[in-house]
Amino acid sequence: MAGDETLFTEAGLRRQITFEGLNYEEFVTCVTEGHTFPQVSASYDEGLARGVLGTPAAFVNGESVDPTYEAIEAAVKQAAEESGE
Amino acid sequence: MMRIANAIRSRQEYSRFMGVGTRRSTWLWALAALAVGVSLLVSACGSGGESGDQSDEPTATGTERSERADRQASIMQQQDQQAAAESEQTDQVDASDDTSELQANELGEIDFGHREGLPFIRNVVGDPEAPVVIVEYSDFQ
Repeated sequence: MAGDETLFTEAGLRRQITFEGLNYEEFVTCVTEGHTFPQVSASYDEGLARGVLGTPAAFVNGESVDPTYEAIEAAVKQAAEESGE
Repeated sequence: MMRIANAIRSRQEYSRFMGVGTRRSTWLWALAALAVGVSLLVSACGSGGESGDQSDEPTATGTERSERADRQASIMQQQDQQAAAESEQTDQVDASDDTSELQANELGEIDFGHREGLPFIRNVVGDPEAPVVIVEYSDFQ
């Protein structure tokens, strides 16, 4: 998809957005009017504050964890034991 | 003469004895027949009630009836419980369906709903105050 240059045309965006089940006009309105921009910006700043330098990045109870299934599973079990759940 | 007299007397006594004896015998036969009749009547009544079960042991048949009734009651109870559980589950699914629709505010933003059976608020799924919280930063690709 990243190599699909036709995606970044209006026709390509319309095709892809429709394929995803979204309404193209509503999508354009959402992007141009920027109603969700504060949320995206806040999430971005929060990631910077946590030291996120790239994606994917994972945290379990605030502790940075290697973003693999095994590492996250081990961290979740440890956190659950510490919390007594 | 004495011999004849003795013979008559003996015969009379014999006849008298036999007469009485015959009456006693008749009474005995009548009693025996009555006893047999009563016993046949009792056995006929006893077996007549069990003829539908085709069983020779009335006690065992009664036990079977009791067990069968218990099994039927148990099955009916299980069916009632299953129906109640299914009804409750259907109600829960209906309620989940009601809240699973993404609800948007006046700006068209999705505020809350359900994902995979868990409530979510914007990009937070589940209870934000849960004992274990996973945060992931990713790109939409």
